[in-house]
Amino acid sequence: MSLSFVAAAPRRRFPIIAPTLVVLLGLLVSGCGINRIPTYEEQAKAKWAEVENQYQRRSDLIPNLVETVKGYARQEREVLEAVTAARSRATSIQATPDLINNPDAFKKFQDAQLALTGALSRLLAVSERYPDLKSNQNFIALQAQLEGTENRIAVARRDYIEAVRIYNTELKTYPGIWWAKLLYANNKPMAEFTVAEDVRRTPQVKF
Amino acid sequence: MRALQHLRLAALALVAMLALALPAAAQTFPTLSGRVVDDARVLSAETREALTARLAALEARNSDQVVVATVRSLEGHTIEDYANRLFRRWGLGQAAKNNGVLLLIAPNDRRVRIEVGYGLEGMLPDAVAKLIIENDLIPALRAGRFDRAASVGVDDITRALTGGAADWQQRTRAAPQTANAHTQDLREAGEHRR
Repeated sequence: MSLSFVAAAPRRRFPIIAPTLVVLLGLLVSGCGINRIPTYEEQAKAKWAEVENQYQRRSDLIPNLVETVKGYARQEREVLEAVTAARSRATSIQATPDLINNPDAFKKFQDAQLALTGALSRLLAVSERYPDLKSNQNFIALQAQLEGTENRIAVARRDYIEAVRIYNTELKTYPGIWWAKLLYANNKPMAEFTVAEDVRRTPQVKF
Repeated sequence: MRALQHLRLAALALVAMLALALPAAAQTFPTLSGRVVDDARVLSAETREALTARLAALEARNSDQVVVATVRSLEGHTIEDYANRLFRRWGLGQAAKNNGVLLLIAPNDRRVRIEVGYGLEGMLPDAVAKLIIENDLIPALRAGRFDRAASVGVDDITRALTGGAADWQQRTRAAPQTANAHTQDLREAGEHRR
């Protein structure tokens, strides 16, 4: 047993060195930031997916909300129609992943969502005038879900903004600039939100 | 000359990064010293002890990690924003399950919030959290009864996260879009509280 081990040892030395070298080289290369651009890009894309996800969730809540409000405040037709129209405009913009690389399309998406935020806030403001609607359990639940979704949108946007900042910074600073020129010539800075949507639709409850 | 220009650019980038990092760093958070963090000093020692024991029991039971915190100031942030950042800073819940809940009270800003980890949104949905806040927490807080608010808040959250609420949780998950399910959920949520 031991004899065969000794005999095998010299033959093994070289095959061990080669993988070690590869691993070392790999560590060296990954340590100098070659992977950072694609990594940050993927992270930013994932954060964007979450933004889309939350906007979609908001959009899904609206038909139910509109129906509920109609049951109590049919005369607010203008406000109700504005919400429905804003929703269909917002959903007509396909939120594809490459939206973030197209500043014009991104701005359109952003504007449409902002318009929907405005229309929704008017609807909720109008709802305050109808006590029966305000005490309707379905309406209360929808309103809570909508508020929750607005909060999640805010969080998702914040995370996206941060991820894009890191990614864009990597593209514009060293050593990222070199890697971008060498390997990632197609990587462009991602679009950022230009309008703050921190405007709270519903006044926060104070105690 | 070119090298100098690059150096200047790099220096500028560094300054810009520092400038961006500063406001983020300026926000201070209380340290997570236990399951009840009474930074605003509005809770009695008995309440802190009792709640700590109950929350430890809850975590032992179903691994959900609930923390009660009072803060002196939201430092200009909205409570939603502050609560979310604090929740993340503290890393509440198990990473794989995201099963943490933060009951945050800001007495000086007169705000309250229940921040729920993604993994528990099904058990403690927005509508239930809102009901807990409006029906139970706000009346107690308006009366300045912080011990009562924290205690009743923990009661309600525990009930939502454990068996007492199982029936309506199930319905919430089964049919979140139907009007009747919501009505039912809320009515029963109301009954549970009484």
